[in-house]
Amino acid sequence: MTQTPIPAEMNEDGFADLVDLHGPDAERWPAHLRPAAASLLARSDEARLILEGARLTEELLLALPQSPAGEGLRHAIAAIPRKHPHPAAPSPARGVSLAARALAGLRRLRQNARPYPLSGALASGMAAAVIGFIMGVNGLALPMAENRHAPVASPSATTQLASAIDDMALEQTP
Amino acid sequence: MTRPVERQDAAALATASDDTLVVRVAAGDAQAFQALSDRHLDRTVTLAQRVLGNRAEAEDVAQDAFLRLWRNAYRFRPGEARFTTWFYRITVNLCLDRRRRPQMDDIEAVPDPVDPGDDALTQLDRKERARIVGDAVARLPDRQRQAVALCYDADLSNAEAAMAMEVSVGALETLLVRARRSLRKQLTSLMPDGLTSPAGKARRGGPR
Repeated sequence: MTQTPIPAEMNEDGFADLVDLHGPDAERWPAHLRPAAASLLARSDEARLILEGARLTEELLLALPQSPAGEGLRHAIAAIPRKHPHPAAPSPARGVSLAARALAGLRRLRQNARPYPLSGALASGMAAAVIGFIMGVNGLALPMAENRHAPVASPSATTQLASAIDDMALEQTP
Repeated sequence: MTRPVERQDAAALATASDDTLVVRVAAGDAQAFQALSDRHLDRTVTLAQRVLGNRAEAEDVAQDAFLRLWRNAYRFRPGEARFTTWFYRITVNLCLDRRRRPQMDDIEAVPDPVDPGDDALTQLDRKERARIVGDAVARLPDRQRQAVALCYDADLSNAEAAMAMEVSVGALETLLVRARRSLRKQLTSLMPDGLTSPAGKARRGGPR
């Protein structure tokens, strides 16, 4: 939060800013602004009305009623694990993690090699090789027709790799 | 009949942290998923309803959000953010996706206008107060309403709400300031002259 400058004398607009930002509780106001605010409250009906309005607003916002979920929704959510197969989390997560590390390494390599004319092609070639290796190790496959029903996380891993390659290609474009 | 081991596990789930439960959901634990949904469903529906202003759509969003939790729990990184920050960001994004779709007119979704002749707040019962402030919040611009919903309905801190909305803390505070100012003006206009809380009356003589 930015430090508010110390005003020589606070006016009603400044006081409204203070309570709208920090709330109506004077203990939450910045210490250096409290004397000017107190002085204004002592002499201004408008400032007191602002404070009362802020108190009422805060009180009502804190008491906003919850909207309990209906029984139908509770049943529908309880049925999610039964109706929707859970993706095999550990394997894709490991694949993504390995891929992310490999791509980070490749990015570093490309950045270090930027002065050399063949660096873009070299990085792209190495990216393809590393991605192929990772996909082989983790059993990932490109989203072709026969893999349409693969777990949700697997396409996500390949998509991430593909978009990372796109990013690298875009970065290389002048 | 519930076996002792299951009872122990249920007790452990009830007291487990959100982070622990999400890790178990990521591994396909349906009981952990149930525990998480029991814990956060009402607040999720409340948040979605506040943002969308429509009960049926809010329930659809909540269901979609929990389906995404079941499928994508492995994407949550404990330590990087609180579970609620991550999960409510998903919820808010789903709400925004819905708002981008062409809207059908929904009479239920249109808030009742506030009668300018309403009695003083002192004479309003709790339900009426809730309706008035609910309507006032519903009339806020979208981003301000999201900020209010995340900070008051979802009970996130300013920093967490900023993360959930993918804006800076300063931007979030600006939205909150504008929202509070607008609400304060609307609600203050309902206060009859001289109506103040006891604390306010004590202040009439000035701070001591």
